[in-house]
Amino acid sequence: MEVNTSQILKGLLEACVLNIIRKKDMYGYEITEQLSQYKLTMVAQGTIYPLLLKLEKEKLLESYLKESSDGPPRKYYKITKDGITYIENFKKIWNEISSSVNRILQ
Amino acid sequence: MNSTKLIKYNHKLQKQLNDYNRKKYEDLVVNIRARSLFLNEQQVETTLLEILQDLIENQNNNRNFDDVFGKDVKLIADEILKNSAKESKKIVLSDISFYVALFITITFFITLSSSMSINLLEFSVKSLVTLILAIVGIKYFVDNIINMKVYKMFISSSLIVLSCILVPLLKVAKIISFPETYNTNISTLAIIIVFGLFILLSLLTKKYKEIFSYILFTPLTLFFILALLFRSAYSSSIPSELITFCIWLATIVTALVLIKKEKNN
Repeated sequence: MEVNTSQILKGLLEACVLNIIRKKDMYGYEITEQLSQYKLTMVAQGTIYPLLLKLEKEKLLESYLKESSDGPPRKYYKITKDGITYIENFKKIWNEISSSVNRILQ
Repeated sequence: MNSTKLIKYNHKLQKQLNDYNRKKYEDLVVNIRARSLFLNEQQVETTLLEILQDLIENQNNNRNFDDVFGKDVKLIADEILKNSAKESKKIVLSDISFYVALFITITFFITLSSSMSINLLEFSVKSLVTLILAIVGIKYFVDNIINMKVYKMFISSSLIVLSCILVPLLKVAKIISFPETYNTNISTLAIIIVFGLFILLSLLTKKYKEIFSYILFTPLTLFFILALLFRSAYSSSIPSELITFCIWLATIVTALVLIKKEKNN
């Protein structure tokens, strides 16, 4: 059976996006650029928008419009307190899972 | 920032896209807007603008729409719609009142002077008014199908077309004597005619097949409900014009009150 990367990636991607935004407020394009810098290129960039909407709905992120000198304002994302708590919990669980999985797959 | 302003920005920025990207982006926009009836319009428009701005940035870095979104526009639209916030109930209700009011206004206006005896002057005036309304409606519909302002305009224009063409047509065919007796014949026949038109249109324009189904769904449902409502109302002894006027007034007032309340919030 073929591995469905998109399924596995969905939850992980959410965590990655949250952690990236935690460092600095960003807009969509910047986030995808960051992801590809970490070689997460198998993620179609378009999937980021539904994901950001979902995180916003779950109140892990919030957004605001920032005026720009050239053209219309851009939508920036900012992590919330809930988002920070979530990412801390996620890291703990992920460390446990990944070390176990790595041991099995080795 | 309100939706109208966002849409204006969107329209302006689209000019920066190359032909291919623009075509694909328009597909995405039409797909999303036509299906976002009960979603928070401001959020949907913000997302559309956001996508456009990022697409322009990608284009400047030699990536086209497909590199960003893949080939399947519908899939990405589905995902975005699924994750968008719902519109507040007040706005939805005021929108619905608006459509009801619009429908009644037009049909009432068209059939206001209708009597069973055929009067040449009356007939010409009525035909002229109907024709003008129909042309305006169709023009609006065509003009806005790609870069329409809001989904509301979409629905209202199709409602205008629907009531302008259908009601007089049925009257000429002497199937109804609306508004005196609004019987079930019209609702059934209306649905047959509109579905026929819809199928024809979708066959002619495969691209917009799905969009048409969304646009026509709301007016059709409304039409059907109103037909039933009128039918039951007219079987009582109250004058029919009074009933029509009361419903019209009530919907207008509801729409205005709700819109005002929403603005205050």
